[in-house]
Amino acid sequence: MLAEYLPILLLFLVASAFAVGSVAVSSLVGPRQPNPTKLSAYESGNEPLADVPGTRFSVKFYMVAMLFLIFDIEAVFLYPWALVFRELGWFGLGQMALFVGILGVAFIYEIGRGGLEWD
Amino acid sequence: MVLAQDATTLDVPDVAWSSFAPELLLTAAALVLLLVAIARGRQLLVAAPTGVVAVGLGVWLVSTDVVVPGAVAIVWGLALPAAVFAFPHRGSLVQAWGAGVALAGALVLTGWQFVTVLGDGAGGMTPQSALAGALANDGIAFFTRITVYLTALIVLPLGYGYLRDRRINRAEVEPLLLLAVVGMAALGTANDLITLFVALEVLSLALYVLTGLARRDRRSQEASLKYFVMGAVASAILLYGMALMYVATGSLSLPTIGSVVALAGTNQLVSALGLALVTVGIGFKVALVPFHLWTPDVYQGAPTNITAFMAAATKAAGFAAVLRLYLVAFPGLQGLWAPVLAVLAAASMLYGAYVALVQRDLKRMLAYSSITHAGYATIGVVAVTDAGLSGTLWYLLTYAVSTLGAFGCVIAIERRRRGEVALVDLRGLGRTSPAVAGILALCLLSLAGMPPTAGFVGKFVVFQAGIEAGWTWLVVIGVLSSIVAAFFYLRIAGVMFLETADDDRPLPASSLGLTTGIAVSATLVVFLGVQPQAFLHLADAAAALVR
Repeated sequence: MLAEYLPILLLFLVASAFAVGSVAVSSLVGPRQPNPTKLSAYESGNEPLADVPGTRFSVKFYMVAMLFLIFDIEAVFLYPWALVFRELGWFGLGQMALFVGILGVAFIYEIGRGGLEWD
Repeated sequence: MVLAQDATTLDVPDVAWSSFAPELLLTAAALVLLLVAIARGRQLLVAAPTGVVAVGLGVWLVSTDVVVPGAVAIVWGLALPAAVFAFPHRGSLVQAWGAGVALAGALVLTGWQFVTVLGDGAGGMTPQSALAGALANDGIAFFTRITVYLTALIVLPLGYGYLRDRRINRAEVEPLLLLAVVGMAALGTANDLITLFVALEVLSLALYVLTGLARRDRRSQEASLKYFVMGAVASAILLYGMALMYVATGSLSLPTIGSVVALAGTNQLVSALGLALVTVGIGFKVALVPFHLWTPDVYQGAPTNITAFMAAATKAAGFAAVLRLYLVAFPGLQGLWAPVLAVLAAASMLYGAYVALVQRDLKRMLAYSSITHAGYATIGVVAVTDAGLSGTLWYLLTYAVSTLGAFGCVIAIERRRRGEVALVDLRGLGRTSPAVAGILALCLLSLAGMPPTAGFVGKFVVFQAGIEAGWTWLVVIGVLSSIVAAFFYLRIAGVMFLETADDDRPLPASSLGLTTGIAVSATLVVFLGVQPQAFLHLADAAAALVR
């Protein structure tokens, strides 16, 4: 019975072998010509805010992370729903309204408690 | 236009709203109360539209001949604005009344479900499965709902004055309590693994926050963190067990798992492994012995009313899940799990009783006593009979009312002590405050299982089921541990009535809510002990399961 899961295990092995292998090969074979720009940290084109090791950042970011999680999950549900929206008809609209409504209450509560104010 | 014509409508699933009507009401109430919590001076702005919507919904329901839920919606829709009007500057009172009326409505809706769907007119039950098999509206669900809603309804007035005294009466208490109750009731109804897990998480997450309610108190912080970290690990183990069950049987629905496991040629090793891991996860929630380590610290550190709620309601919900898991999904592996569970029960009963003997703190002692009681309730599970099933459900109800009364008295005593209540603080209480001492003694006698109380009938029914199923050694251990437990319960009574105190002042007067809560639970302890027939009959009927 467990044998059915063998392909998944193989996929894991192949994927990690590919990742480790390509890094190893490029570090062994590739040319090495460092310059300051290449060595600097890449932060989406912005100036890095701080050195990465040992950096402290505000605990308040947890609220942002939680908010992100909530809306991320909402999006996860909205995409497949949008795909079958026509087929589901009014039933689908009602259910999604219920779901978004409940999330909306949580969001209003968050604003009301000052969750979006940084200071 | 062409696209619109091409669209075919799927078969829309039929949502049986009535099958989870009580939880629906409580969820809606929790959401509205959250909005009321942040409205501050503009509470009427939230309460009035909600009231209009609820009354409109109620009128529509009544006009379509769904009278009882309609009436409940109308009553709740009128009660919320009325509470805002009546207590304009006391937000926590509005919250408490809003939550209380919703819980009473949930009890009414549970009764309505029994009358319209479950009951067969002759007092028996015809179980129903709903939402494509995700929910089972049967005896376990019905009884768990009653126990959990009743507990929450008693905890609300018990805790109101206590939270105000400790200045932790935050507006989030009632919504979180309602959400925890919804999770517990859903755990009692869950008939597939996913619903079961989601329900367990809903109740756990709400309880983690409630445990840490007194965030200036280090012990409350510690309790919350400990409960959260260990609970998260337990959830992970549980989830792994569920995954293994799915691997072994190819189904998430408990009845299907049950029929597949019973077949010869199923991979019994993998499903047994899954069952073992799930037992660890749920054993953690109900505090069976090897998984009980969090209990004393969390029960001691949490605000006392939350401890009372956790002890009474979480245990009932957790055992509902245990019963359904073992009796619906795994009766086929009975020879494998029953001995293991019996050993856990025996260990819980003995360990809890002996460690409680040496406790000095009253809340800690009640925590160990709750471990002991988890052991007694498990006797009904290992019996694997209808008598054992109804015995466990009944036992959990009697334990809930007794432990609520006991923790209510602890709250009353804490008003003087400001914090921990040690055994020596109880000296002379029988002389200075005879009412509180008397009720505490009554509830402890019920926990010990003395005859005229609810606890006696509970123990009697469970032990009887154990004997009938042939678990004589387990019942003997149960009786032995009851004797040990009776010693420390009676010692408390002795300290209260026979010793004299240095401090002759009576306890400060209890608030109205605290008095009501303690009186109601004490009345129930006596009533269920003297007149158990009505509820015992219900518990017998509750042995009807969706299989």
